[in-house]
Amino acid sequence: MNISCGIIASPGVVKGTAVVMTSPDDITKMSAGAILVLKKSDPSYAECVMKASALICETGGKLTHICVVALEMGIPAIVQVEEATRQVHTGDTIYLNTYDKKIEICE
Amino acid sequence: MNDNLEKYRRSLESAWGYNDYNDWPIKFNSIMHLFIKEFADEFVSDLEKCRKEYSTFTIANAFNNPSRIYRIIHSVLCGMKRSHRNIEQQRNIANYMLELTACLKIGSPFNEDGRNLILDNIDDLFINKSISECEKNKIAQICSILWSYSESIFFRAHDITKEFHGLYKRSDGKQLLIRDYFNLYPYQIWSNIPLLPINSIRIISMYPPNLYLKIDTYDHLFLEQGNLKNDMIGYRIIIDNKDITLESGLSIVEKSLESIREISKWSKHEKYPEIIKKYAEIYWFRKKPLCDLLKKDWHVPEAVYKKIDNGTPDIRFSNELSAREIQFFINTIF
Repeated sequence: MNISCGIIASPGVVKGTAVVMTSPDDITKMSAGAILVLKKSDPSYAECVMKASALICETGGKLTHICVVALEMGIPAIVQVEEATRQVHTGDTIYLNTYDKKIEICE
Repeated sequence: MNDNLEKYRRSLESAWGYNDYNDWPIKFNSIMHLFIKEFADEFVSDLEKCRKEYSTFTIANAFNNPSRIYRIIHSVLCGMKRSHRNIEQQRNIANYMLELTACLKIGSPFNEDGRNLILDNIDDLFINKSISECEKNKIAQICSILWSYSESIFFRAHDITKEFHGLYKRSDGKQLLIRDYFNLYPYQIWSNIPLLPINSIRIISMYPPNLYLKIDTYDHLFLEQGNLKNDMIGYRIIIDNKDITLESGLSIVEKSLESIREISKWSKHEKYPEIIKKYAEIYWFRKKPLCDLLKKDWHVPEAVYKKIDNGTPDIRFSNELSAREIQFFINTIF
């Protein structure tokens, strides 16, 4: 299933397992190499982005700080992905390709 | 309106057009009415006094880095509007602040070539040229955490703490990106939070000629080609003017995380007035260089704290701005 892509904040191609977070209290759920899916960001999520292989966020813009963290870590980031935290579930396999503007939940 | 003012106005399009919609710890637009007028009144008055006593270069140097001046212009203009200062007065202040910014740059105050005065002999700079994948990852972690640390300790006013500049092209075609961090130990703002026990960090990373990165005058990074971590071919880390090894630099990550977690906890548990007061303190800290030149106290006046206690956030300004609203607000400047 494809999810409509938002704004590309950092480029790249990744396939990995999603970890969905809706509150900073979920930070402990993060696992290394996962694709982090957020509703909105604040600085406390930085440590999760540092472990992630990609970032998807429902809100934010190209210059949102969490996206700069993704840029510094060299991982892809897409923001303004509508209802990402509702459509993606923790454990889903996601294929993300910013060059094709594609976010796919693999079957 | 002169060219510089028009360029300044257009630069806001980039900043607002890629709106970062940042509402942590609170949406600034919804609380600025509680102190921005008082802030701008003091700022303009202090700046005028400084102009009578000091040269433009001395005033600019007190701010240390150009984005600390450039990024505050809009807040000063907003406050001046609320004080019913006329357009000519607003233009004069903006022009002078652009002049101050230009003092700290090689070229234009609008970062058209990305360089600052800070660095001019790049070919002679020592750079560690042997770098493993693991080291790239560690450097990226330090750079990443410092972004978040800056945002945590100064909220949106992170110009107090950072200046990114470059890319500087060396004669061999390789390029240097300089990330400078200052004021990393603002104990005056966060007396009860563990902070990084250092004042400044410079991280220099070297890239091949085919990495394209632009840095605008707000220190926003626009990567057009390449990868900031994977394409790194050299680095150097300097803390408080001393070269340090990557391993000792890594202690920054853990210590910064501790501060970020504490401030995040603080923001979750504090009530609105306390968060707004903290924002006001950060704003007054922004203009501390002027107070230092005038040898006067820089702290927030008691009247501002009272105004915050008696006021509330304006929920009309809690939402994201539409493209039309952004254009409208840009057109109302000057």
